[in-house]
Amino acid sequence: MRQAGRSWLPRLGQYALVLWVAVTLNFAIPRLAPGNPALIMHTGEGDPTPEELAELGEIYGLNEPVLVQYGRFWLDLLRGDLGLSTDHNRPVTDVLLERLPWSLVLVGLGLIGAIIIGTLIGAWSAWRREAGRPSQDKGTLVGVLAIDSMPGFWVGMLLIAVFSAQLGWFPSYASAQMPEGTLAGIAESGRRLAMPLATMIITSFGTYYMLARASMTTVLGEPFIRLARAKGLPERTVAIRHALRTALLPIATNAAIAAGSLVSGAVVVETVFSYPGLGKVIADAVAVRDYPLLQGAFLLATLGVIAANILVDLLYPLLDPRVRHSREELPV
Amino acid sequence: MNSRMHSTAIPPRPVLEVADLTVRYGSRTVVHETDLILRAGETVALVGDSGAGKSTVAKAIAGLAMPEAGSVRLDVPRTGHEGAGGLDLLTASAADRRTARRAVHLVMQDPYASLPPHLRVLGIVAEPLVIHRIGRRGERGEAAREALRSVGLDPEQYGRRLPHELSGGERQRVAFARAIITRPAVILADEPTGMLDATLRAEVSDLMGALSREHGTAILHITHDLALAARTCDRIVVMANGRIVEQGRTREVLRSPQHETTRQLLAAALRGARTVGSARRVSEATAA
Amino acid sequence: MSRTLALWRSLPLTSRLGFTIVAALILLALFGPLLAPYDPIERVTTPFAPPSSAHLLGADDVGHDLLSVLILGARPSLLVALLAAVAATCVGMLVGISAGYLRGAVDTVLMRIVDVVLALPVVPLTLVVGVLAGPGLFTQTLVISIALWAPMARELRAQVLSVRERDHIHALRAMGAGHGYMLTRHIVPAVGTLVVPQLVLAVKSAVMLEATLAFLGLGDVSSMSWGMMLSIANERSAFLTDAWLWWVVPPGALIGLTVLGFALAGGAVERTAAGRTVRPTRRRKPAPASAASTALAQTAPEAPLLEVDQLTVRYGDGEAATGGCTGVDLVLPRGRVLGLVGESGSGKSTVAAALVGLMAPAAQVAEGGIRMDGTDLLVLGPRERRGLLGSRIGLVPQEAQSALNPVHRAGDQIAEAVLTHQDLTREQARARAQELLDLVGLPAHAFRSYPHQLSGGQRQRVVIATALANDPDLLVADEPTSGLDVLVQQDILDLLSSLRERLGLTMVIVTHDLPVIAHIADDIAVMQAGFVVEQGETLRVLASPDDPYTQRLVGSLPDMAEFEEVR
Repeated sequence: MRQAGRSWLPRLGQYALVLWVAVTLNFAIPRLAPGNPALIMHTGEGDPTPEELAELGEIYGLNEPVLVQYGRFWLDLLRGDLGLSTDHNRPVTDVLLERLPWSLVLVGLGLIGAIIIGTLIGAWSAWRREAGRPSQDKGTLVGVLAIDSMPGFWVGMLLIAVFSAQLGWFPSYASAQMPEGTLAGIAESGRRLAMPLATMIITSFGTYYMLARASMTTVLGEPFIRLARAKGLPERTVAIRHALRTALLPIATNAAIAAGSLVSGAVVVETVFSYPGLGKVIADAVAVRDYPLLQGAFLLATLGVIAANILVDLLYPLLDPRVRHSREELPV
Repeated sequence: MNSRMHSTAIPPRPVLEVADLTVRYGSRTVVHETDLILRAGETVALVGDSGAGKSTVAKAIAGLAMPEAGSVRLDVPRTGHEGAGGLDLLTASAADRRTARRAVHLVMQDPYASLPPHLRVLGIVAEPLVIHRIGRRGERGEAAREALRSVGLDPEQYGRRLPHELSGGERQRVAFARAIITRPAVILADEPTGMLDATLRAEVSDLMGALSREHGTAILHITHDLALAARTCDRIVVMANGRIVEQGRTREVLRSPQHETTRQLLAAALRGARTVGSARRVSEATAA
Repeated sequence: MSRTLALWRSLPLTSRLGFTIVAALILLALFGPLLAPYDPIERVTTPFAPPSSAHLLGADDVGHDLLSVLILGARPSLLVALLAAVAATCVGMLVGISAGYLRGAVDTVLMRIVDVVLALPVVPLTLVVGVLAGPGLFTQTLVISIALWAPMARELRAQVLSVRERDHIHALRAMGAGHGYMLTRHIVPAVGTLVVPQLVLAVKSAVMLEATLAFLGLGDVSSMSWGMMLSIANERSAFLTDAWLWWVVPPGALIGLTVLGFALAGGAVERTAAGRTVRPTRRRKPAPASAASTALAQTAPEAPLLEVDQLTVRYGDGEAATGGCTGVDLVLPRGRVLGLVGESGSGKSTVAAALVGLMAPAAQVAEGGIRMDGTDLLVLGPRERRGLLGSRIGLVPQEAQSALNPVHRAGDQIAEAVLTHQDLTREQARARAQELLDLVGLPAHAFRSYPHQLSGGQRQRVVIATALANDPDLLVADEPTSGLDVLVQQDILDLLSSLRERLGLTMVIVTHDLPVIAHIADDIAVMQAGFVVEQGETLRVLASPDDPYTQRLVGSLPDMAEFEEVR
């Protein structure tokens, strides 16, 4: 169970550790791989000549002792310098920051949508099972499992095929320009956002369905539900004010963990829809082996996951009074 | 030491002597400098409310809780340290401790959790022999069957069953069969009847008494139920807040309890029993 | 052979479905080359050819037969996933079991590592490694294993921890068993059965990851997996043409089917929490009053508050029905306290549940009636029944000290009971709640406390206050003292006694503990195996019980008379 207050220091330490590991991995992996690390820094066409390699080695300080390189690496990082993208020929930081807002919108809205839909259906499913209708629950479960089993890129492609190519309701790709501030501009971006967003939600809500269903099932077995019924409360009040409210706690705890997978899901969705976010940037970088850009994106994604965790840590006490109020016994 | 002693007759040899035992969980001291003596063939009740520290004392003796201070001396045959005060379990070598485990056996409260779910009854009962490498295959089987018989279970009927096929009372009997198979000198029974139905409690209690008399085993019966203690135990030790507050022969302590805790526990036990008792007296009077 | 068949039948339907799917796919992978009609790398027809009898799925942009490509795609899709999952499971098992069993420093270090790996975003990390290692089978296996081992280690560690804490493991340690013995004979067998479903679920994740990586271009070009098929389809924008139906749909559908199959086989559907559930009773037809209860009613001058009349409740339908209670007759005059005594399985809980109207969905009233002031409760609709519950009938449920909602304040929970049945303002309800807190002997500031800030006895009192919120005529207390300290139990019993005096309550107290009610109950009914075997005035039953079971029950109580002359 998440605890704020006294134990925030170890948690913060844990996050710092994760960040440190991510940075060190970025540093270590190219140097551990066989071949000259300078290769990955090479911009331009074709294989570099030995002279070009040597030159790159000089520029990137690859001939200096490892610890010096490591220190340099960190210094650059703290200055915001993530290196040069070999494909775009611009600083990595610039490329990433340019595309970040697009992904934030997609992932953010997708997360919210997935959580709401998944939680509602999951809680309902558990409720029906407890009400003596296990077949409804099982049916829903298998259905959601089936949907969750579908690969994200496939769902995206199907949506495009049906709704764009065949029916022409939605455009099949998003534009690369930022939307204008006018109402029409926003409506247009909305249209372009609709299908990628739908894909994100369809492929991610399953996780939250499982979480909510498990959590609700546990809560419904607790004694206080019996008491709520013993007061003569109507079923709906018992379901929402008592069961769901308490079931939200474990969902919140796990929400941050599941958020990490949404970031991953965005990569394929953006690829399929040519959506100009970080995911597309990553996918393109894979195709052309733009290593510095990949490293930068990895780091940024890690930061994002950490930020989500911290956010949940801060919000959790609002949900759970047991954490808000430390254990004080009343004098009798 | 803060306990009140009542008169005792000439005691037989002590087999287990606990001195100055102190156990901490984190920053909380659960048992304070407690002394306890168990003699061969006697049944001692360790009573107190929850949180008094009684289970912890048993766990410390059984090696499941590490005490801060104190000594647990075991003076029994076949441990290589007979006489001369016996072996201090807390400072003994690992090998000595292992041998000593044959002489002290802990029976736990929850019969639904204390038996391995994947073994059959005979295997469960014989397990201490396997652990200590006593006897050969055939002998172990025979010893297990013998043990089952002495707790009132027919080996033919129960031997090949799995724990989940048995009732709570039957499982607890299996636990006792397992307890006596190495002929231990001491059995620690931690609330052995706590999870059993009322009608079974007396039976299991009586079973413990019978085993004690038959094999000369010293039994430490931990319970919060004073009435049960009164029924079967020779001596009673009362604990509260990690300390022993009163001890002595059962009848004497219960007839004139000195400490507040003892009185309260007695009052609680009398509450229900009183109505039964008075009801009986009323019916006896009307019958007369 | 028949044992295997029995084992198969014992599996739930969804698992069987899953295993069937998985088996079919494995066969497809094994016998692919025999089944495929054409060589997938040969141009056998025109590009983008639509489906025909010769080419059931048409052709791709080069002219390969899509059906053959699809069939042969099974092998690479599954192979990588299986290899990676097995590798991840081995590492995960090693780490998880070591950490869970050894604990201490080993555990801390290993779990730190696992936590860090879990925190790193999966796909970007695998891409970073994958791009460097170059595309191919090895890369995919390596990269997927890296992603999968950490959650598995975590899961297995948790399972080892819970096994390790079981009483029977403690008992073994107390018996002197060594680490080696415990690991080989007890820990690993217990965890081992759980590794198999974990492995299956790991394969499921691996299949999905393989497809994703292949789609993004990290697959092995020489062997076309389904993910790669879709990658190429995406590049050629096949979804914009009619080709989507036979090029895009089948590979994706097969991926989905594979993942689903493994998920079902891994028991995804059966991972459910057990929980006792209760629901308001459903409507029932009235039954005629039996002679026995009318006779009993006639002995009391005033009409009894409660009459239970030949109540018979069964769980389940038809053949599988098990007994709840049978032919129960009870009479409860106003102002009396009835103790309902019985051990587990005696049916007392069923009767109590029927009284308040909170029986499990599986429970069916086969016959009989429950009349309160003449009204048969069992024919009332759920809303009317709910109207009674909490207003005329108050329930103090089992495990009352855990029965409070942990996220609402104590006072609010009492006020809620008031507001459910009385039309008062918030303020009035709160005032009433304060009154009730006082009535049960709690200080006024308990109102604002959360349940975790109160002791077990205090929580029990709050629950009692809740039950009394609307001045009920009947109070049903289900095991009111179990789980409480011995001395606290006395306090609660004293409280119930005094409440009965002050409020003139009629009570039913359900318990397995005879002494508890021996001094508070006027009348007593003893139940065994679903039947009421004896009932009557408490003193009479205790003094001279007629029924042999009751005799044994009373006999097991010690006679403490010799200790009574104290003080």
